[in-house]
Amino acid sequence: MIKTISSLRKSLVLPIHIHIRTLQTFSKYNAQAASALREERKKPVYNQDEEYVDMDWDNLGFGLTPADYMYVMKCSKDGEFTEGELTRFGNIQLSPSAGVLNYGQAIYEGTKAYRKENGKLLLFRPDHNAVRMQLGAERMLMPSPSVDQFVDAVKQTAFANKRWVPPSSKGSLYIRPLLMGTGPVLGLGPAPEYTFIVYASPVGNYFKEGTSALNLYVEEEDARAAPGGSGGVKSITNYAPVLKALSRAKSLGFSDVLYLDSVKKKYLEEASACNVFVVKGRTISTPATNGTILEGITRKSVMEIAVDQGYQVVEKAVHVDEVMDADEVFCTGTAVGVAPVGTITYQDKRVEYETGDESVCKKLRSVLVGIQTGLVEDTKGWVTCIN
Amino acid sequence: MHGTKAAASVVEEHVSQMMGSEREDEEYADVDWDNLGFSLVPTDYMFATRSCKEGNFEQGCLSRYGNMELNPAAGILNYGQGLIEGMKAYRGEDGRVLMFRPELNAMRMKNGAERMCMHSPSVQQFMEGVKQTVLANIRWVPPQGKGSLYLRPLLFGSGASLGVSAASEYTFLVFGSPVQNYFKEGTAALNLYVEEVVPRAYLGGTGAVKAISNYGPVLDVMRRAKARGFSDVLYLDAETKKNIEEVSSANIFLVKGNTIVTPATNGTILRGITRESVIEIALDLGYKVEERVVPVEELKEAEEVFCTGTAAGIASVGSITFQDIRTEYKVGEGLVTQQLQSILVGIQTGSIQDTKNWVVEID
Repeated sequence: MIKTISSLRKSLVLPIHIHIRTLQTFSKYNAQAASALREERKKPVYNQDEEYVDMDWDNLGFGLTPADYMYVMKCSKDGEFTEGELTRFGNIQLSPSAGVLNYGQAIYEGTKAYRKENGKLLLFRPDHNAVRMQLGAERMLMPSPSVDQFVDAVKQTAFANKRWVPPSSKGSLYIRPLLMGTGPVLGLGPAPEYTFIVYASPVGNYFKEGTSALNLYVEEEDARAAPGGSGGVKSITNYAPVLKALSRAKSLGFSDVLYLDSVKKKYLEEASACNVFVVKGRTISTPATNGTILEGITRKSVMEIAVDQGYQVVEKAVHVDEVMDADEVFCTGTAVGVAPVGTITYQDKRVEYETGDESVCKKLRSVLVGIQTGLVEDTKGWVTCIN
Repeated sequence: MHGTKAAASVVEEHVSQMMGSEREDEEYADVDWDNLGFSLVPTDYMFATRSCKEGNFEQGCLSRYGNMELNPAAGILNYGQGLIEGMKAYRGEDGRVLMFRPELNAMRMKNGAERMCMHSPSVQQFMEGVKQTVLANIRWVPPQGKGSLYLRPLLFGSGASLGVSAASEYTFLVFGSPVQNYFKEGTAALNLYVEEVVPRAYLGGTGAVKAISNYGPVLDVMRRAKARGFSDVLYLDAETKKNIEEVSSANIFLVKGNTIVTPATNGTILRGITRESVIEIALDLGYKVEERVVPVEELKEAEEVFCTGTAAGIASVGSITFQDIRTEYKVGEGLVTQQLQSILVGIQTGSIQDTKNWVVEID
């Protein structure tokens, strides 16, 4: 049975602990700043009479349905990003010798715009994606947009495409910032020029299972990352190499793959595009981000919500045996949300987990989704309204 | 208007049409052949073809070298789904244009495509694309002895993927650029730095295929080594950090007496075509050649060290620094390195008889 946001709202318990958390120094955006930015735009780029694009909102999956506008910003050789601009979504021009094509020099981000019940559009912690892109860019020897430039680009993209943000409870607008080496290179080296783009697509559920519990397969041959590699940043180079393991698992009926550490092949890392949590009693454990694992924004948000709810949250090395012994397992990611895991298969053993309405996963998911869609009061300053 | 179809758009032109109207009368392009390095010099034409959902590539065609169009959601841009190859066209003494074992690059790309869940051109389609690119750019093949035309076949996911998945459409593209020496040291011996933290590859990764995903992550460590005066980085195995693997874009060999040793290609190391050819030449010359695990300590005992690669050729290594200890090696004339190098180059440029059918003439 697919739960809609409205039925979640009925079952929502609101144990709001006012929990002021000290963030690192990110730029804080609020609705006032967003409207000031809008007024600064010189000309109206779009003329939209309808509130929504004409789409089948009840059957959104996770395929690409490009929204009208994308954002493009270029970086000159001196490493400074010039002012970007919105443009109609369309093919981009690239040199065949571009760094991204020949040497995989690129990183991406993933964030979403959600529609509140009253129609307003909300972004969730986009400044965290901005900082994560900066860290990734440094690792991959690329200049990066500033936090302000990144957040502004995401806001502009979301607002320009507001007709594409699904109605409340039907999905969200997935937003894909992408930073790539576009200048020409021949020998192995960093590109001399870079391009930052943001494009978007309305989406529903990431997995074809919809909101049903996932069935995961523990991969022992292929590794997603190694210490010293690029697993800790959102480099495009982390993804193509796992397509083979992913397609093998999917052909056997699994939803996704759980990767182990490349050294001992005994410790849980993450799945192809989401982090993993293990619940045992009142303790929620997740693999520590020690360089090989991507530090998810949904991951860190869920950890904070869980602490607020009174769970013991532990970041540590999670041995695969602990996973097989857990009460519940769930995955977290921007695209994925908070997804319950129904079974995990490791070697020849298949373990089943609790996934019902009373599960920890469901509780945490309700709070997170509630905050993201404006149903639950945002006491942490995580949500920005852009209109 | 929105939702433009994913495509690498290729202008359909044939060599004869273009060449007929725009052929230069000179035999060579206007290039300073004495000062070629290894940077991109755009040439006249490139070759491209696309695959469809079923995995077959249509007959490709040449177009003027220039920007191509890609969907922003293309698999290569978002998920790194791409493979490269590296080949050279040489101008022989008698003016013939020669390529070296191109079918091995074709097969290596095919194997790589399988690992990366990509459609691949057939060996024949690959060879046809490379041959057309060379012929169309013949005036960019440097005069004999001045370098070569470096060719870069590229295979990438051009179809759109939003979630993490293989693209449904692929583009195979070939472009070229005249080059001379790969390293800024020219033909002088290289100074390598052994990297202990960042691996180039790991078991269960993509090190054994020429995936673009192997390169982006090492740009940072290369830059740091170069800033300290090194030519390039020598990587260790990720699992134990005890054994040498290869350099950023070349394989490595150690020489001691009559024995030549190179790390075995066991899944993390790229099986170089130059590497394979050098092994065979060395065996023919009577050297003992060992492909095995090479512990980093053996670097201290080698008499000579050299790197091999299409771009690098056979490059002498003058020193290797590991944990602040710098070991120096014999360089210069009359050594094993130079012996192997002159034979390989001789075969590649047609001055030594090609008894192994390694050389293909492009005509």
